[in-house]
Amino acid sequence: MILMYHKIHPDTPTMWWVSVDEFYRQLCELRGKDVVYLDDYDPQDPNQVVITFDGVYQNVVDFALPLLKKFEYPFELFIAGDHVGKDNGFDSVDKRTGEETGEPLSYFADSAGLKKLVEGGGRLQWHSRSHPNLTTLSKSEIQKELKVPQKFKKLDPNGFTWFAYPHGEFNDEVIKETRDNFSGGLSVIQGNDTDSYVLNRLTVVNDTMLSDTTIGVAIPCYNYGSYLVEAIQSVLNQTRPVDKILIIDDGSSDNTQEIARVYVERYKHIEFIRHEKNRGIIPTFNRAIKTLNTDYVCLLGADNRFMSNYIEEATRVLDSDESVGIAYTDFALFGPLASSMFSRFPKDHRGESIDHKIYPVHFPEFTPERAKKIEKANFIHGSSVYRKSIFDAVGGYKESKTAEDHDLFTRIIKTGWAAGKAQNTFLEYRQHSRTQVNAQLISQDELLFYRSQIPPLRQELEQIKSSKFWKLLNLYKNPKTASKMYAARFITKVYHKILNKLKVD
Amino acid sequence: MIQSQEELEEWYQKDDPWEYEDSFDDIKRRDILLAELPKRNYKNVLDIGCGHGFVTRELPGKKITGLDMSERAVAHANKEAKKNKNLSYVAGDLFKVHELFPEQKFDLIIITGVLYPQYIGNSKILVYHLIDQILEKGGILMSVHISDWYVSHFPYLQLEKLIYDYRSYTHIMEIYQK
Repeated sequence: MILMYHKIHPDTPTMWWVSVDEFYRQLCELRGKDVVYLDDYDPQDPNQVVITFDGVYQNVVDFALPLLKKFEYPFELFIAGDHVGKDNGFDSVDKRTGEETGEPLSYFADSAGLKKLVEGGGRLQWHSRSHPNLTTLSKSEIQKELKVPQKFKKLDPNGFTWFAYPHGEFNDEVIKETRDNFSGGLSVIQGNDTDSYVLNRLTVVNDTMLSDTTIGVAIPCYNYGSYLVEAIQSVLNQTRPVDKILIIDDGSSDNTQEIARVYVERYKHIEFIRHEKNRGIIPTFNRAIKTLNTDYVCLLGADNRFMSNYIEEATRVLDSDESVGIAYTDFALFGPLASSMFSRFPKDHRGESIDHKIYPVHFPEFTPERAKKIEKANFIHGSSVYRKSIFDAVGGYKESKTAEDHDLFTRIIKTGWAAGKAQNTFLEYRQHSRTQVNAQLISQDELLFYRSQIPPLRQELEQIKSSKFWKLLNLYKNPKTASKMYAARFITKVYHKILNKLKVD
Repeated sequence: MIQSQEELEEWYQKDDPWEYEDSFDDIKRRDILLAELPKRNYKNVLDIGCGHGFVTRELPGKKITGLDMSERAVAHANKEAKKNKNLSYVAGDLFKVHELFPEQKFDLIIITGVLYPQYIGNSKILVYHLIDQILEKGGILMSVHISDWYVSHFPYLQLEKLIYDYRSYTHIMEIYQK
């Protein structure tokens, strides 16, 4: 697969622009693939991907380059020589129809920008001199368009071995000239997926998904309404977004339902299910994972939080190695009982507390030796991200002598799956006693949640109050006061109407 | 659409366009920030979105830098800064911080009223990444924003989160350690 990008920017005025955040998501999705240069590209290999930019615009230097460097992906840059350092004024009108395109003016990178891109892992390639439709040109004109000036060649000694047809258009003459000068040619949709002189590319837009692996998080909740907003928010704030969030209420008697229903209305990818009676951990967990039914699954206790790179780092572990079934992380203990819980962990697992507020617990790396002892010495916590297919294969959570998640992960490891530790991220694990929930005042985030509900509710109330039904009901219930109020309003209205009429006349 | 430089400069024709200096709520939010600042010996401090320096000039630390997109705001802030040798202001773009401070790491970064759609559009993750490049390991990051337009959350451990009334809005203050 060869991807084609044009502009990467915080704003996306037309389909040729991909937002920086969506670009980042797409780069995350490519982690399971093999991202290569065109010179190394084998069209027959379904796992290979090439990232290409056409233009090349300055916004690619400003907004895409830092992220491409972070992921250490190679990428290809197709430049139109005459436009380097200038603007794309020619894009404002569609040449075929003569209509305005609504394409805002933007600038192409200059030589200094191109140099930065090359230093960051980009390879310069040729997109013609002036970006014409080559099929309308004579042989000598085509040759002129395909010739790469020395000043550009100097910018990248490894580059200019590939050509991208302007507007994706080519004919036999164009292909012949390309064969004579380049090791391959790229089109958009006019070519095919096998001939290296007319390879097709995928035009990437904001919504383009580059991986079909889905990620889901289930938040089981039993009377943790006070913390639920924080837990949900921590999933919504992830640097790699999840495809599905399931809130599962195991018969809470608090405000859990109320909060969950508002989130379901606000977000398309949030679902809510509820047990009318408390069924307990195992049935709830099993139902949660089955309902999620995403490729990667995990559970987040309603009183805990994910650090905002949790999903990104955990899925990185699963994406990069198919033999790894479970991705676990370190703990960051917080809350009133954090320090006492911290002291119960083995000394060599304890990190350094931050201002006596957060206590990091570091778990060891997964090794075959530790895997053998997993039954006795657990280091894979219950919010680890794992493959749903394994859950199905081992029969989910079961009654056991140890904790239900410990038991599940032990059975998974025993069937030969490896686990992997995600780096630089934490499960933020709240330490408190259950009674503290009810005793404490409303939590800050809960308060903010209810505040955000005030304006829409007020608006709804206003609508009800101004409805005919409400007025009639009011007249029926309080005939005296209501008729006085409505009569007064009616008279003022009529009075103003007459007054206006007089003014006009 | 993100606000243009011209629009921003237009806004900064006044020295204190948001009228922080005489607003009780702004003095309060500055007091809260100073009180909540984790107690450390800060050596190199950066205030992103410093405006005319309303918070910057009160910050503790050996060397304090204010950064704002608006050249007018920075010019005004610099007039005041002459009295204080530790304090300097730079006009520049948040998206260029890695180039503005290539050799520097900060042990305290404050970012106030910046991470809104009108300034950063859909690019919060790039902002995390760029700030990460100039924040020292173990350094503190404080983010102060109006809740209605704030959807960011940095990938660091959150030491503290405070929510309080601010003008007709609600402020969220987050304190992180890298």
